[in-house]
Amino acid sequence: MILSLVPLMRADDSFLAGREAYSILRLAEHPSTWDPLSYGGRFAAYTWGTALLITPSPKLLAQLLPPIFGLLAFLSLWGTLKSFGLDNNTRRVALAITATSPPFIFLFSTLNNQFIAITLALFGLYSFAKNWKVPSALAFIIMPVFSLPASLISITLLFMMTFFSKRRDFFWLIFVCTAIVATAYYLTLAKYAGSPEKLLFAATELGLHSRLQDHFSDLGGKYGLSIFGAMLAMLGVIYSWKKKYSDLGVFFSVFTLAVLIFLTKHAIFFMNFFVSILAAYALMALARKGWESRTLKNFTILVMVLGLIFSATSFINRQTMAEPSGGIVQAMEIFKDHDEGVAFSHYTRGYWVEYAGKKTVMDENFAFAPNVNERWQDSENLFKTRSLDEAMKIIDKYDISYIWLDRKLRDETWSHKEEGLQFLLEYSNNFKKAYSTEHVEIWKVLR
Amino acid sequence: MRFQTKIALGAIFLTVLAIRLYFAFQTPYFSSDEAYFHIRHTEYIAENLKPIVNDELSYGGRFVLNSHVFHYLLALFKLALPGMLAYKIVPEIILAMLVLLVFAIAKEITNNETAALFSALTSGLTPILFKATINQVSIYSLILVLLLYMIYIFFDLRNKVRWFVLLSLLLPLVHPAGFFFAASMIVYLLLTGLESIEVEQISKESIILVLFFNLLIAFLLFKNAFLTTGLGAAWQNVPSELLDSYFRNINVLEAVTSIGIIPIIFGTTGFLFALKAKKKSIYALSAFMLTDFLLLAMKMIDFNIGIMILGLLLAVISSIAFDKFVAYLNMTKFIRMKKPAAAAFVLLAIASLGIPSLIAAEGTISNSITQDEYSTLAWIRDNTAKMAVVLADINEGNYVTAIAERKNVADSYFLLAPDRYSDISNIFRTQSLVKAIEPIKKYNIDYIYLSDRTKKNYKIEELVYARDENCFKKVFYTEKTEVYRITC
Repeated sequence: MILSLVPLMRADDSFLAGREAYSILRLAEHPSTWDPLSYGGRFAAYTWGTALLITPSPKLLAQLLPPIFGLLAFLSLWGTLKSFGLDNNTRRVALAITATSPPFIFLFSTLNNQFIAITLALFGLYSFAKNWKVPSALAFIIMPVFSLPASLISITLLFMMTFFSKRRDFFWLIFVCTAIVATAYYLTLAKYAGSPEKLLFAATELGLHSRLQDHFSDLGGKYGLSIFGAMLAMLGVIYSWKKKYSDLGVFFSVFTLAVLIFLTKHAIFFMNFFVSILAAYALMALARKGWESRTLKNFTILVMVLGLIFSATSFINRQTMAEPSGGIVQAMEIFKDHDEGVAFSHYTRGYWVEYAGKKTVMDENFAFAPNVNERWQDSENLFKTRSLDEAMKIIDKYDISYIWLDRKLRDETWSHKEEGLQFLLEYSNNFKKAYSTEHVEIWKVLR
Repeated sequence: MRFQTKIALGAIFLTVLAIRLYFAFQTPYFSSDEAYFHIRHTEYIAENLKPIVNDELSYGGRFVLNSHVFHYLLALFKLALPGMLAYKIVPEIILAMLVLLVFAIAKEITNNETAALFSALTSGLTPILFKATINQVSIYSLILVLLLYMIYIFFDLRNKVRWFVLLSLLLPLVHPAGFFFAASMIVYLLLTGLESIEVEQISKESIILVLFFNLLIAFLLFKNAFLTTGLGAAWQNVPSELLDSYFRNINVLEAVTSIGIIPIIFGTTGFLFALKAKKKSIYALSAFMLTDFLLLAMKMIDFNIGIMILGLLLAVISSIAFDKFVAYLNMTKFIRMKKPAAAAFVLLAIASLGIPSLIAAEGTISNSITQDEYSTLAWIRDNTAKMAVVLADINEGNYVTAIAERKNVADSYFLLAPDRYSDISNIFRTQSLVKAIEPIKKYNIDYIYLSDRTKKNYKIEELVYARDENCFKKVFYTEKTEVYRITC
């Protein structure tokens, strides 16, 4: 029910939330080894799993599959927790906290490249715990096709879980098979697309402050942890500290994930499950232990539950309002009818522009992308310049026919109307407005 | 409590209150721009029973993120006290009440009424309390009282648990400074843990509650600020150029003059005595001090509030040193000198704290908005279009909205406000008409209000570009103020 809230609450005309969804949807609609739109045309060196799975009916499955997989993930987690020996009440609370956690809601309420991989990881763990060898091995082996980072993290976690048990042999079997599949898949991509270029620019803000912001949804993170869940989890760690030697696998997994989330945001999805379990453990411990003051007990548990609900509702609200708005979706649809050509925008708008059937200078998929650093530098220069000559040089270099600007992009890029490229668009005869609403402006380059 | 103690405590309270009120009534106006922010919001609540959510005047129109608890409290007193009396009297009474709380806490930890009275006296005369709060309708008055009352209750949790729950809810509602209490409690647990001191079960329970209450309320109230600025919300979105003046480094000399030498010497000595005794109450107070130091060092707490808290805590702890000092005299041949010696110390405290406090209060009052400034702002109110945008220095922005009742370009309430400091700074500092006109057009500025305060702040004599009569017309001036109308 929670997972279906986001799509149901989104405005009728705003379709899927986020940017990645539109890339997957486009790939699902036109599966091919050659992508004619991204970076002006490139070998489609992508993780194809999700796109291929929704190919039979892209738009329908894009909306149906995430919540269905969410349910499967939920059931797998229930089974996994049972095999970890958690009592019924703690398990129920853990599941409730998971279901209302921002990363879980994000994963299974919109189309993205991670939701199938995470479900497979949970199912793989559950099967592993149940000693169902074939399903478990299969889940881990096909995971790299859906998400390589998720696959690497889940294999690492499986290693942590099995290292202190007697089932290491089976782990190594899974590890070797998964490694073979992942290597074969990514070597093939590298063979045709060339080796990936090292990024010379920061796609996300660096520094501890912005990292912390990314890790917590309440601080503005796209799919960060609930800050209340994390605080409760810390209490859970304190309460379970004495038991750490009996669950060394879990202890090392949490420790590893705490390090990994600073290296890859994908680790947040996995960390979220541990945070939920530890938070449930803390809540149950607080509810069961003898309190000196009943008033304090009641208020404390009430505040904790309210905090978790607050994080969930706040995140659902944000996801409901998340871009693209109806105005942007409408602009994408109308832009489809314009003549073919390269449309320039910020790389974060690349997937939308490509969904509208236009070639881009660059998009967010930097892996294996051709001349990604040069394209980024040119894009930055084009946004900042007020020199027509310089602008036209870049425009000619990439054969740009359109410029896509949405309201948020304008606000983020320029502080006033006559700054950078906006000045040229306004006062030069080389550009003509091809489409304009309060949400989006599309300018045509006149030659 | 002994009768003499009651009389002495009453006398200290009334003396502190009388001094505060004396200074507050030295001017019909208030001594900070922030005071006018609170007055304006309180007036609106008193009139409409609801707060200003979308402020049409601040920053030319913006969403105001504030719990308004302080404004509702003042509005309640506005019903009984006419005109500006509520703003003059109520904050001063609340601040004077600090001496009662300091007395109560000091008595709790020393069980010596004379020592507690000494603490009450030193706290009442702490210079920074005069400098940073007198005649300023300061929200810190309420925060400090709530904070000290929570500390007091924390020492007797079993009997006052309901009060504790209520205040845990109220403090973060009033101001994000509530986090200070929660952070201090965590430090307390760490300190007692390091010393292997067993903390009562009820204390641990209350600490968990405070922590989660603070988180919940902070995220409920300031959700948008956290989503927009992340942890930057802790710095209240103060422009980076101004951060140093709001969240300053600890300057030892300034700290000493702000707190006073007596609380520092007695507080530090008392602190050392108490640590030896391994008293939990002292560990709690140490935790508050340590947290205060840490937050000041990390520039996460306003310098003035940080020093005020430090001063009050030192005043509380100085009771231990005073207690020990008197006890020591009892053991020596100077026992007959006990009363004169104690009296000498009290006199020394009065002299060393009272004089700097009076000077600080005088300085604050002389920094109040002047008759010239007020009449200029009143002229703007009476002679300009209702929708006119008036540029003033960021530290005088609330004068424009509250007195002139016109839109400002920016003011000092930065939470969720756009960063306009550098543009404003450019307008006042530049000599180039071209450079000035760009931001003037950007913010649709109709008038520029230039006071001596602004000139001093930007180290300018005049707006050089305003000599251009095609673009600027001086429409009003006094000895200390000028108003220019933009005509191009």
